[in-house]
Amino acid sequence: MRRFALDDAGSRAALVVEEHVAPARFELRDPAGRLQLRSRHDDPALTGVHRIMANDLPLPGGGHAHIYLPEAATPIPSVLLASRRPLGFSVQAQALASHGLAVIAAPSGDLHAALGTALATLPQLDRERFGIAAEGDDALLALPLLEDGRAVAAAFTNLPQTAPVCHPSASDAAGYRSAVLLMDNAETLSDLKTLPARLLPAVAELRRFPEEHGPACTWRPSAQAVRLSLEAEWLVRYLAQ
Amino acid sequence: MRLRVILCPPPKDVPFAARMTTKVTGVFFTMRQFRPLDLLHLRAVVDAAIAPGGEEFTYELAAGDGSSVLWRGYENAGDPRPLTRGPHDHKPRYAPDQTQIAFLRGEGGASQIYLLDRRGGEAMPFTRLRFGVCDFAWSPDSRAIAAVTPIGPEGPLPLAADADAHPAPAGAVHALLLMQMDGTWRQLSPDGVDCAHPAFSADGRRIACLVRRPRDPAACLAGLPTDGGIAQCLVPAEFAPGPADFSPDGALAFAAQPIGALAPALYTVSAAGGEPQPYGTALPEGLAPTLRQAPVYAADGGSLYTLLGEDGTWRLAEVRPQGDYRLRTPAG
Repeated sequence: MRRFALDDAGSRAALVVEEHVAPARFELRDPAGRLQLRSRHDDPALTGVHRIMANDLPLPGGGHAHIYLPEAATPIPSVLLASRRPLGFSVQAQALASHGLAVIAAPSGDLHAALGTALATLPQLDRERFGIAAEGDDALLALPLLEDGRAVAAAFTNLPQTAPVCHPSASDAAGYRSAVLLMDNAETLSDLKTLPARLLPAVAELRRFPEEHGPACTWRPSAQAVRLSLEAEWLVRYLAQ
Repeated sequence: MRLRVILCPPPKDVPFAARMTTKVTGVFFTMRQFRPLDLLHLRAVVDAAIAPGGEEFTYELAAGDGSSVLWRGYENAGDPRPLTRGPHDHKPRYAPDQTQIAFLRGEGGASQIYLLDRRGGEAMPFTRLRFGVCDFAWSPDSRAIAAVTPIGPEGPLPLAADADAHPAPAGAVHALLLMQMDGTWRQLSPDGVDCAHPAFSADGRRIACLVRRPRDPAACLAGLPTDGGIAQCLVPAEFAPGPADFSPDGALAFAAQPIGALAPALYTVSAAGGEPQPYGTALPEGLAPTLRQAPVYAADGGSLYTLLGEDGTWRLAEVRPQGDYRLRTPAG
């Protein structure tokens, strides 16, 4: 649930409800919590599109990483299914997961552990499908903090060594949560380039973010880095909403 | 989506009578993968408002391409219908006198307040400010709106008739303006501070909002007299208060997570300020109110509604000053 509003007599509550894999919807409930009305805005264009799965991944030092995986054509090993449960994560993050991104969210202090665990675990699942080529945090492309305090980093496979590197340690101190996006392959990356130009202003809005709000990043400008950062910023835009 | 029916013979150890016909053992839908452009088809509800009386509601529906429109519905009158044309309409709020709906419409890189007569007709612009409006709240008598607007060193600037609004420049602060329905306005917030989350007192004489200096992450909870008097910090920034709501008798309720506290909790403070008092007894460990939306007093002031979070899930709850609480929405 994201927001609520009450009428003046307290007889009805208007709610914005966000569930596991569905876009947020409107609900009207009475004082006892009974559902009176629910909005329906299913788009026919999305009929027959894969939903996605979320999993908990215990971390070595305690805590959990939350992993969103594309719904697999092949079964996912039970190690990840065992502790599956719904999480209040944004539908955009789930949507990103559903087109080939494994989205991993973990407490900030566990970010590197989550990444390491994911790198160690995902290949056991289906290394070819997820195409994990990054090792450690050398391939991390760190991104600005989100409004709600999460830090986001994107790790791209086959990322050139010249890519910018940023450690999210600055966010750790403030207790921020972090998320890592692991992109599966270059094909998905090229798909993102086909996005309509009208989505790009949102990217421009975030481009100045690192200087104002982000941790102490070291940006090494290069054509490749800029291109990647633009695409990553676009992902963050949707993760942030 | 293609439908594929899988036919297979039954196992040999099934009794003969049961093997007389081939059984349909499974129906599978061949589903395609989500593609990036499918994001444009995702539509999600972002914000909602409910009319006084509760029979009518309006909500913001956002599409994956960044556009958003308002939809309106009635409890017993079928499906909601589009109320506005967009393309960037958001934050609907009903006037307390029930005559109008105010909302923000994005245009020219900034959002302006529009007013829509509930009886029908086109939405009309209420503000035309150079850098637009970020947030607003109706006064209890519906004769004014408190608007949060970015301003530069020159102060609030109305737009020329042929000019477009545009995004606020770096360094702009967010001032609180009291805008009357006759078009006159007055800046209530002190110069050089950022205001956010305005809320009127029941008598309309004060506005509570979070006030902070630019680039300072900590905000104090301040009371601003609507007659232009001096703003007063009611809850210091060290207390880390969230947005607040006035009780019918003028006290303020808010969630806060003071330094050293393990989790946010509900507090109240009198209209004159002073030491914030915990609202009720402590909630069970792991259950905490949201800091992102102000708690809302029940009509009689006898309880507070807020979103309580537990393990990443938020539920609407009614919290009483005695400390007991009732969750108003189901889990999940």
